[in-house]
Amino acid sequence: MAVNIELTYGKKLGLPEYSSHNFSVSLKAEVARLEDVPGEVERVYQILQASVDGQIVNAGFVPGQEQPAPAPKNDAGNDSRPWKCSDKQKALIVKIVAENKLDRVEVEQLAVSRFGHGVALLNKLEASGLIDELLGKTGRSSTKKTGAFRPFEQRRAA
Amino acid sequence: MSAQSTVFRSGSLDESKPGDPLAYISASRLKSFLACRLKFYFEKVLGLKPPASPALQVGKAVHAALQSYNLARWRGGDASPAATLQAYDKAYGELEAAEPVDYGDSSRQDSIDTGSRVLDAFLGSELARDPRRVLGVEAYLRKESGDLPLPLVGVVDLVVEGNVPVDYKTVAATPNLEDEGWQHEVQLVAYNLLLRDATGEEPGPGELIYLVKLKSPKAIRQVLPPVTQTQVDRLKALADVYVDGVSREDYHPSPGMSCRWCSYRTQCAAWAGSKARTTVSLAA
Repeated sequence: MAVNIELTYGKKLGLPEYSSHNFSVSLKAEVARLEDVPGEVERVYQILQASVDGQIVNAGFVPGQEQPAPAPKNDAGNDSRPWKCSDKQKALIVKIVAENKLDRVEVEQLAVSRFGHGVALLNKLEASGLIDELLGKTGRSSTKKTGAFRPFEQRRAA
Repeated sequence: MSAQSTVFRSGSLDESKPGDPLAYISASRLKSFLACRLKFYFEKVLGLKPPASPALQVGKAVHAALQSYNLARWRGGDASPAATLQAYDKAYGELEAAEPVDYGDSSRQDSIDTGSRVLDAFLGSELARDPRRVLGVEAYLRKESGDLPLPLVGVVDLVVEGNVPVDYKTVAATPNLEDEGWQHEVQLVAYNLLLRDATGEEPGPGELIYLVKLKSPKAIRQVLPPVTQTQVDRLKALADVYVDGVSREDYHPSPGMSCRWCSYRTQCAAWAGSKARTTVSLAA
């Protein structure tokens, strides 16, 4: 018998002048057995937390500020949010996802699984690992002259 | 690099092919240039490649196996000794096919067995069961220039929890740890700068894991002292020396102990103070 679970993760952050903003995301999932619930909850929690953290950094209108903060775009491929990795890494991740028609949710899950947070929050070290893994999954090697984007035998130093 | 050690991938980039020496600096480039500018010119600028030695071949294949092992641990793959040794055999064959190995008087099978034994010793040791979370395997890092004259790049064998860089060294004899720490300072300071830039955090002290190719192989871990500001300043000063020398194409031999195992002695002998004459001679 399938078991349906519904999970919600939310966060409330304080803003200047005694104000705050909060954001929550809910998700429904189905597992085959009751024993699978803890594992699924752990997995979904990571996804939800990464999703909320990735968005809540955009505070929008903040009391006391003259201009409202720009609203973020929803399209991850044209994401204007600041990423923690380098611009080149961001561009490469977006390119790999687009060219290989990868599921963005799965890529986000992969980042959460490996590093504990979503793609936009990966630092340069973590982004390097994600890029390596994405290229491995897509069976491609980069044409860039960089070690991490090529198989071992092409990466050795003299 | 010490006489007894076989360090293959201090930069671990594809530096076996000729490239613009002013495009970036790496620990490998810096060490090569500082050890002998003419050897650096032959190796990194012209891309001359002597046949691989058996020790180099074993070291590369062992590193490939360790990469496979650490990736499997990180990504939930098969990290069993059997799978790791299989990765070693596969890498050994592929590397040999890509680049000829000069076995000289030694046996090919002995070389293969040496690598298998040292891997076995590592996999059976506590070092292979490091409980720290893996943060990166063969992690390519690049720090744009700013406080350095050129971008700094490097590939770290393994990064574990605490942003600790770990580098594997296959060595022929039990290392003198004090000497080794000194020999690998440039590499580990470079890793410190790269990780600091990549994570925005202060990296943990670097670690070296020596895989000692004795008849009874063993694995030894060395935790180096935290990198000091003096070491960072020293690396930056050495990078300035590199850029200055390379910009002027100041490549001259540095006769010394390391000439004993240098593969470029024939080409070196043609050098007579003129870069043009050297180049003509090499082309001929």
